[in-house]
Amino acid sequence: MSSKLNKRKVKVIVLTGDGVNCEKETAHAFNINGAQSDIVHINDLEAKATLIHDYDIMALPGGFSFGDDLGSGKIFALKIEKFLGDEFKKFMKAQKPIIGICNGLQVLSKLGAFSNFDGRYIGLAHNENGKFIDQWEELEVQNSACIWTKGIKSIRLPIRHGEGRFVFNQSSAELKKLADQFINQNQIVLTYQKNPNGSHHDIAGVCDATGLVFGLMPHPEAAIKAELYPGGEVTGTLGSQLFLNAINYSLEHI
Amino acid sequence: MKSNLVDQAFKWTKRCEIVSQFPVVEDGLKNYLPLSLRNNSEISIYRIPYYVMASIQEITPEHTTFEKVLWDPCLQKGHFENYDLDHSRVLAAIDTHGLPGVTDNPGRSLSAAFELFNYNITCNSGTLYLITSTDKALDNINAEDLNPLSLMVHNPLIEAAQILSSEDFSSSKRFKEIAVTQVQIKHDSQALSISLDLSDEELMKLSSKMCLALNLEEMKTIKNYYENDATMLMRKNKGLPPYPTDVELEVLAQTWSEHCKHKIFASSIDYKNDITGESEIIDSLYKSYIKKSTKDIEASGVDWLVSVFSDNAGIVRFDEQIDLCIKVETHNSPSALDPYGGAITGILGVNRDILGCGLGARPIANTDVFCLASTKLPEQINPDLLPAGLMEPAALLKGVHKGVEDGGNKSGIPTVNGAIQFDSSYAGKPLVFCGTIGTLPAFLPDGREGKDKGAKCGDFVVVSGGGVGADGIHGATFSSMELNEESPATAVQIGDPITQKRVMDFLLEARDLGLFTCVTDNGAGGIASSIGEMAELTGGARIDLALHPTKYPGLAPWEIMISESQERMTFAVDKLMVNRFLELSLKRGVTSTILGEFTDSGSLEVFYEDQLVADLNMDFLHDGVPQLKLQAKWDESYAYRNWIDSDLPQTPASVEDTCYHLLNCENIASKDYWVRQYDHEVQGATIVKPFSGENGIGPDDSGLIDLEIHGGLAGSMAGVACGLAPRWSLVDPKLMAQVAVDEAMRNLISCGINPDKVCLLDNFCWPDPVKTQKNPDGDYKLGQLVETCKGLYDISTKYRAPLVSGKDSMKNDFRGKNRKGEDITISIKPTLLVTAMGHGHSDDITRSHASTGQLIYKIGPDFLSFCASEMQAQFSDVAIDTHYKSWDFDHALRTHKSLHQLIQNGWVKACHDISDGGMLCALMEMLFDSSLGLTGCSDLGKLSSLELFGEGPAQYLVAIDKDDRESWEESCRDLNLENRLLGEVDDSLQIKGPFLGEEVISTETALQSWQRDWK
Repeated sequence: MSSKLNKRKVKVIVLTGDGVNCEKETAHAFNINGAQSDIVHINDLEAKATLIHDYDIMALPGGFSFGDDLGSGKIFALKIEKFLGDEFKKFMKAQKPIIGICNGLQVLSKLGAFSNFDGRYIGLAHNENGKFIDQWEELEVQNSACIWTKGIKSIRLPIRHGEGRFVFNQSSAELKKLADQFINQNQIVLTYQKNPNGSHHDIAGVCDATGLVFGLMPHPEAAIKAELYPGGEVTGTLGSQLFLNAINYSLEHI
Repeated sequence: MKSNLVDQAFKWTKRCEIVSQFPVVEDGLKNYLPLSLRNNSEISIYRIPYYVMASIQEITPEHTTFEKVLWDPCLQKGHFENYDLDHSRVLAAIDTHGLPGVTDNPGRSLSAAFELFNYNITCNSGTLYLITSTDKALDNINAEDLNPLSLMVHNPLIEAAQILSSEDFSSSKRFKEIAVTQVQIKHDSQALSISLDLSDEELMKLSSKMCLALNLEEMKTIKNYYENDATMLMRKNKGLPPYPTDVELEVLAQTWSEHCKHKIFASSIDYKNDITGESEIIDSLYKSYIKKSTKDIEASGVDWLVSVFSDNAGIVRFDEQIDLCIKVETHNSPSALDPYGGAITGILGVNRDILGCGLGARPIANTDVFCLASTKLPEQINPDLLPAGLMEPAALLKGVHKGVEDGGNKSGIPTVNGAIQFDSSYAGKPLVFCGTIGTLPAFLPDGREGKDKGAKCGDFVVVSGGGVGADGIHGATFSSMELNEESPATAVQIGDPITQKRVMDFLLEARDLGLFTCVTDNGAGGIASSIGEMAELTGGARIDLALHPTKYPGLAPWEIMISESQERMTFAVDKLMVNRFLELSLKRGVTSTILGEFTDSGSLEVFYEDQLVADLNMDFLHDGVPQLKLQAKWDESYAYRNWIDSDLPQTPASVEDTCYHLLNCENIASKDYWVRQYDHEVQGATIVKPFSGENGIGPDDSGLIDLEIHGGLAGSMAGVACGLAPRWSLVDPKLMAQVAVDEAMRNLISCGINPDKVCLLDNFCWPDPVKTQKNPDGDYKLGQLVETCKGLYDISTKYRAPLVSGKDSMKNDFRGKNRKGEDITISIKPTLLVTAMGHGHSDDITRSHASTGQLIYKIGPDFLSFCASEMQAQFSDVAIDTHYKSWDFDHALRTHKSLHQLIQNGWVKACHDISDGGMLCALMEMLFDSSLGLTGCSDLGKLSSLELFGEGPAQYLVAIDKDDRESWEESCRDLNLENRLLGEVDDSLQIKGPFLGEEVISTETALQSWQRDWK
């Protein structure tokens, strides 16, 4: 361990702008676990996309980018595609962890980051009841390659979303096959004990095939200490652990 | 400069309807279908968003771009021409879209998305509601049968709706004949001179015609000012017409409006109280009671006030690293006309107050309180008696709620506390209170104090945020008038939280870089108010209105000057910094424009291009308004008559049924359905949330925010809570203030806040308190206001809780026709909302849910009454008592302080304040979370109805560990704190024991009653 401690701090880029609003607490969650986070405005990457390679981890925080107009995460994803282009894919290829929380997950999903850039078979629809929901949920961690949830069996986190229903489009045999493949490849990372929004297979979080790109609807950055839990107590794992796992992964791979 | 879209024809248009493959069924809307179809399970209503797009150039976007921008291939399918639904048939449809000029956020976002691909496309959005049936044989629906539904899904003031028959829907006409809404107004870009050479009667006609809301004395003051020789000469020299230009008159009207100047609170009042025999002249209620209270408290040694009564919001220092700002506003009149628009602009507006506080504060929490007529009112009375032109109470609640939801959630500000109060008097005007707390660093990176505004002569006047339009004109003056069925639609606006979020992020970044010297928000009165206020710091300003961006061409100079178009902030920027300021603004996607500069000329000089259109002397503008002289009285004979009689049931024979009834009534029932649609924990700092306990069922008393993540000291917490008691205004208005403050205080203390570190905000919403022929009891209403102010002074000084910010809204009446066409007047009950913000330490956090094995005590003196209680509001036979006459607020204060000490000592495991519905309802709320019960202690005899359901100050329930019983009781004795053991918490799902006599109450049934179906 001691050799690792001598290494530099893990650097995290937290993207913001255009209605993203959880950037501060997301950066805070990384920082209290020993990383150094910079909050970077998406517009500042237009001129210098390669800036992202200065970082070890990328976080897309929650929020309401572009007011969820045209569908949550949609325009922000277009902006990433436009501004970052291949640099985003390079970041992924460099085996660096990426997390998308709530709106960040919606952005990653629209980008196709979990599905080999094929956006046709997995997506996030409006909650079944059509309403925004803020409540805490018990989550089970499924067997997956996800490095963010390593060692965690279950966790309690708050959801705060109106478009968080994971759905598989199975309207054709081809899409059905892709969906089955997604499930069989153990890309489902988190599931709800009591499904609050109508998600297929109770999904609350997913990862890409490598387990490095992780997206979840619940908010681990709002669960970094016991006082923040309803009732003021936590019996299991804190949300903070997810950030620590990624930082430890980076420390091992820098 | 101006867009030439208006004159050019579009060469390319398209309409795209986005059909979801995972649709949400709009359940609640089926209630507005014809009776025979409501319960037909084959029928569903779907919302289909659509866009119309147009370009002045012929364009052929690649199909992939369209698909990429307009829909998500996994979830949706976009249609550019006629289509059929997969499994059902469309029986009819309603097509709705915004009227020209109304803010269209999705349309704007779509244009921005196309811009990423270098397409310049004008976009409008709309919504199609499809009424579908899986039973293909079902008859089509007639257009006229859909009118009620149509009125639920659109507001004719700002939206258009068209009902499409089944055949209309299946024809492809709407995809071919595409109209893109454009604003075409042609106003003169010249300022007009308005002659005031008029008789008194004509002056008043002018005031009313121009929506100036100025009274005769004020009109005459303006007339005299312009007819004064010195003014005439000055104007002649500057080439101005002798009488005011329309710009000048409008600016004076906005600045002098009741909304901006609080003329009633500043008036001289001749007051007689026939109960005490007192008679006095009060020179300004504000100075005599509100400001005086704070000054007296400050003089007595409270040293944590940073800035009160001078900035946009009150600023206090509970933590040496960051200051807290707080402000609560009302947005009643706009919400009456368009609840969604009114509420969202209300919340975004108060956010801007915080952004414009000091050198810019960061909003960290929102609060919201609605006072509305019961959603069941149209079923309880003949609906024809409701005011014409106003919306259904259910639609109003839905609308204001959605406005606060979008305003808070989309801005990333948690809604941590609030209330919904129902009373039929609010059918006259809904009250919508929106509050925001912000953090302001004590010192900025460049060493300036965060609170210090410092505009200098020569600084540029810069407006950031967007263009102005004809929407939001006359908001300040309109809100200073009563409602009628012809109230102006231009006062209605829709907010854009994302544009404002960009402005907020930019502002805070620019603040930390030291790029501006002063900032304030644009609210009521638009730049007329914001620039006018900031110009006071230097002694003048000179601006050119033609430089201000507009949403569309054709606005008159006065419209640009007073438009309240949203999301704008006004800055003073040092000339050396202005390039950096504008560069950053551009990079953050925020429009910023230099309009002119601050001067020390002594006047506000306004140009439109080369022409001087206004030159207003700063002293006359800000101090010229004459003091009102008003009459007020108060005596016990004042008989308030509600506009409608309601039939109340008798009190049920059993305690059990009374308890279930109370828990189910709108004021007490769980607001879970509404509250969980607000994001109450974004920013990751909400420690005590609206609902307490592991399962988040029982209500908690206040919102607690962890200040550490916001830059405060470790363990530092801010709490916010509210109190209101409008029913007391009819009995004893003084007590209304005292009871409301006590309630807000209890809510904070029961969560662990320190009673020595609490500040208060007062928001008065009153019916017209000026006696006139059509408002004959105006003097009584003003008497209620005087008494309330006296009560507020007494209690705030007693509790040493300074008033740091406040607002008043004075014309909350409806004077017009009911739906039958008869004249009606509805005056709201005088309402004082008290918001309390306090400080505490994380070691003292106390929540409201109890656990098995704990003992529950009722603590506090027996200050109980049925007067003005929920019992009295619910049942016809509740005896009116006068117990309240002996309530002693010194005693109440001792209770609060003792409880806090016991919390600090660690005895208190849970605490809940007793308020609406009394002790039994509060007890239930403590037990709901873990499905518990309580077995009453054997030596507590049967309690009276008053003890179970009565209400009053300083009442709490406290849970302690069983093992602590002896030392707890000893501590209470030492503190001289009244305490009564009720019983032990168990998992029996029942409340029983000698204190209920033979009765047993089921906590499960109670929970079912409390979790009311709001849909």
